[in-house]
Amino acid sequence: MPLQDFKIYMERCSRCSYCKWVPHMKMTERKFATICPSIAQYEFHGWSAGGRMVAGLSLLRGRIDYSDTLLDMIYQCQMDGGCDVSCKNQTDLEPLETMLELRAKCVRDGHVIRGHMPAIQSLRREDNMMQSPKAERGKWAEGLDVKDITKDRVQVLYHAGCRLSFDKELWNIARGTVSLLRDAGVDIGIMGKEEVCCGGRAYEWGYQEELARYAGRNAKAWEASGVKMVVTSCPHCYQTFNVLYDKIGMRVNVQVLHITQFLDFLIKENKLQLIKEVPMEVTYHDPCHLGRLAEPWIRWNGVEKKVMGQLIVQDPPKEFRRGANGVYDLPRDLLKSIPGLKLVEMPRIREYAWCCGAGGGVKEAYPEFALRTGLERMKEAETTGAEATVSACPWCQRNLLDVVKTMDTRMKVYDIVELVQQAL
Amino acid sequence: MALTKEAYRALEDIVGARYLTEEAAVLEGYCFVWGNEMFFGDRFSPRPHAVILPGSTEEVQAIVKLCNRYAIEYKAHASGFCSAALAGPKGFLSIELRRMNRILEIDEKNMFAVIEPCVTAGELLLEAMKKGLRSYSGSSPTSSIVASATSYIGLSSSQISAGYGGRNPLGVEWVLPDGEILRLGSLGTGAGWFTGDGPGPSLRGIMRGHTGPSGGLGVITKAAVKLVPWYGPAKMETKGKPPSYTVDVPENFRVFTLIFPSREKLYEAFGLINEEAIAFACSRRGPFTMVAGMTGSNKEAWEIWKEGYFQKKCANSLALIMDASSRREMDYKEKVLEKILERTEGEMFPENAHGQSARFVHALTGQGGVKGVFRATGSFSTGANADEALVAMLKANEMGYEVKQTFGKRGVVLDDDDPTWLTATEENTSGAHQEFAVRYDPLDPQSIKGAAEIEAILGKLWLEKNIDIASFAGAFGLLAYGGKIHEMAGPKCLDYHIWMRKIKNAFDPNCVSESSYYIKPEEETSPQK
Ligand SMILES: Cc1cc2nc3c(=O)[nH]c(=O)nc-3n(C[C@H](O)[C@H](O)[C@H](O)COP(=O)(O)OP(=O)(O)OC[C@H]3O[C@@H](n4cnc5c(N)ncnc54)[C@H](O)[C@@H]3O)c2cc1C
Ligand code: SF4
Ligand code: SF4
Repeated sequence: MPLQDFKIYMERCSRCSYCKWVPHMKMTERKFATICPSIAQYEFHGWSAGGRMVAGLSLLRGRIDYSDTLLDMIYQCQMDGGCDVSCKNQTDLEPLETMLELRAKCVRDGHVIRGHMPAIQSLRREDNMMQSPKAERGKWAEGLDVKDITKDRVQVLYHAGCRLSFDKELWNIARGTVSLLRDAGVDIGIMGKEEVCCGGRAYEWGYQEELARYAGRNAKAWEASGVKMVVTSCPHCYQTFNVLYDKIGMRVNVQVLHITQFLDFLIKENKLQLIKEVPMEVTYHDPCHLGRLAEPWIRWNGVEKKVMGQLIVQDPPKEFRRGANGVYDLPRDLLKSIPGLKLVEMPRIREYAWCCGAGGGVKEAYPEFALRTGLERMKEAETTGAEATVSACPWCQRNLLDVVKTMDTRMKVYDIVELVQQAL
Repeated sequence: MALTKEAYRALEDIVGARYLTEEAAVLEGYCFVWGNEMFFGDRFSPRPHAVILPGSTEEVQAIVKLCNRYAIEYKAHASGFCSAALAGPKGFLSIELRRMNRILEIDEKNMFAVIEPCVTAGELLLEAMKKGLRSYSGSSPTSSIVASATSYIGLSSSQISAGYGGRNPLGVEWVLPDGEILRLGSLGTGAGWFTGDGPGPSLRGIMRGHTGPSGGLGVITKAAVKLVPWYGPAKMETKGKPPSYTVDVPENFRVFTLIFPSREKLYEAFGLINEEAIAFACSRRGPFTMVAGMTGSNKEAWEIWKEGYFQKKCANSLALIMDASSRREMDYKEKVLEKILERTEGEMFPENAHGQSARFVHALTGQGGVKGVFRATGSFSTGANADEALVAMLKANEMGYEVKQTFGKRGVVLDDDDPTWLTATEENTSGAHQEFAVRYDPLDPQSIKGAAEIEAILGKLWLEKNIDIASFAGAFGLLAYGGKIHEMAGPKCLDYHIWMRKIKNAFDPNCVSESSYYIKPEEETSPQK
């Protein structure tokens, strides 16, 4: 949908600034009452969802032209969607979708962020966002002796995703996951160097065509292999496969689960038993792409009409995605089922969680901002008294690990699978 | 006209390059706000020359002095949630105070908080509740308490129990339009923040009067505001999912929707509730505002509205919230309420937990206003307001309702059946605050025009009938812009506009504090003279 179609939302933004705050009924601590990393860092209104609604409108109307400042304003934003939840708790607007389209317009008009180009070029040449040769994609699994779905038939495909495939420090997560699933009797395989990016991150940066390309390639590969299910450790991939492919009308006919969902299933089926004590107090960081952004896509093709003279309703009625239906409980249930482990919650959780800082192309183009945002999250985690922050996303993991290196803290950062492994 | 390079550099020296900008893309965010379409025919008003973000009183003072030196018009704002904060007929230096957001002190014993201008109502409430106190709610949880206490309107749904407007500020630190610092109330004699009056200069009337100078009289950099007892928990627990979060009404509170057989009976009950001082908050918002507040979307609101139930049952309804420090006090209040209902043939409307939660949260935090007024059509206006005796307001309501209905039935503005909003005031008298909310579509020129016409008609009517001109002349509504209203209302009200202008000129000799929502500085004779 072109940005033009979002004009109705931009023009109806009241500038209430709710998008800068956690929904008020969910605020518990003043220190952690804000939701938007962008305005927290850059201060001017433009660095908020409301500000970008104005910028988008302004651009469409020709009141302003592209400039470096405008591009920074648009891209110094994690696209984590916290603003969207807070705004839509009160309104029928679409700030996040508008911001996505604004980015797409920038790219279409040839105004791109220099800091994104290495990753985009890498995607175009090497099918990954990590600036690494595609031939090395399956290296993380060397020595695991796991089936290759391009050769063997398996029930379940493990999709590692770009981050886990190329970030050596995190390979243990992917390797551990595969071993754990195999031990639980899952007929699992990987695609090795044939695996390609989901296309989701590029889409979020405004490169919409990439999404369709990778949706097509993934669909073809999965269908050809005959897998019944795809499991991924990466919430970005999970969200892309389930939500974004559906959004662009390319939903794949294979069930896609995040690893936390699959582990929950295995535990319930008694295929996995968590028996060892892990005496630890941890806090859980909700990855945006597993939480509020993972809500199923709701297709709506309709028009606005007015009733009662001026009441704006949609015909046919439209259900808005307001962040309520992300994957919030399963990771928590999983942690709680680990013997000896105690879960304590941060002030900002679930649909109103503070972002880790890595999303939206920020880690690539504005690394300092990514670290500052992650630092705020780790400080929030520290207030819980927990020994460790647990996430379920390799991108969060990467950024939070980088943050911890800059801090004087004893707090550790784990992926949820690392703790599950300890409990087996 | 853009700032000269010299002036820009001088401003940069005060706050640092990071906190000053004149980039067009950034400035656009500072001239776009709801309501602008009523004044400018568009949500965009003229662009500011630059935006500056000071971090301290000293920086504000230096900026203001520099503006005097270079003849740069300026206006300060907090969250910038109204046209008066961001708009003017031409560009000016926009001073955003968001970096000044510290709660400096909560004096539990003397029940006040000392805060900087960008502490929001939501934030202060969070901190105060931990100490068994609460602030008045202001307009919404994202809005500045200092803005409403010192500079702009200052009403709140819980004002009957927590005070409003000029009754809330105590000691105040004020950077005058020329850059001098004035400390009001006890602060002025170094005696602390505890009172807005003496020992020390008691200039609340000049600082804000009834509705506030809307940024036209310098910058308030700190203020102490009253706190009152809070009988709920230190933290509220919220259940549910967006957009339908629900809080459990705490045990020391009761939330009622009361329904009456006629408007007269409603006004009678309202007066009695005020007089008997049993309310934490008491207001009438009308059936559509009720439905909008308790639903998660326009679609949901429309589904309920179509059934016609609320219009029928709650046409004459009041939301009443009561709090008590003890079981005995609550028993007493409940008995009083029973008697009032007997006398006024009132009943309790059975409302579900979600509806109760919506009323309670709105009274406590102001939350729900955005749902109530912006979600439906995209914008609203409230003109024709009054703080008056109930009997006068009943009449005003009848007159105004008819006008609004005419436009509503034509489909120009939302045909919402809502009568005036009515809010109990602190004095526990038979007076109240009343406003007409008109919801219109900011994308539809006919709708904007309709809302403006309603305001103009009601404004004229109010003047003819002498309905609370003093507050009508305040910061609200279409006529507030450009000070037009003062020329109309002043002659009917002791020529107050002449005094207001004298204040403006005396305090702002260089006319640099942007004043388009306050009063024009140049001398004009009253039309009567
Ligand atoms: C839905 C809705 C409901 C509302 N209900 C109410 C209500 O119940 N009660 C009420 O009082 N208002 C109400 N308002 C009006 C208004 O929006 C608020 O009063 C305003 O939002 C106050 O807070 P703010 O932080 O947004 O102030 P801003 O919008 O930033 O400023 C308000 C005015 O005060 C001036 N100002 C702000 N801070 C300072 C300062 N430190 N020094 C000098 N001047 C300053 C600004 O120039 C501007 O003219 C409502 C508005 C809306 C949209
Ligand atoms: S985007 Fe939504 S929450 Fe933000 S200012 Fe606009 S209407 Fe308010
Ligand atoms: S997506 Fe995140 S960073 Fe961007 S505007 Fe929304 S809350 Fe702020």
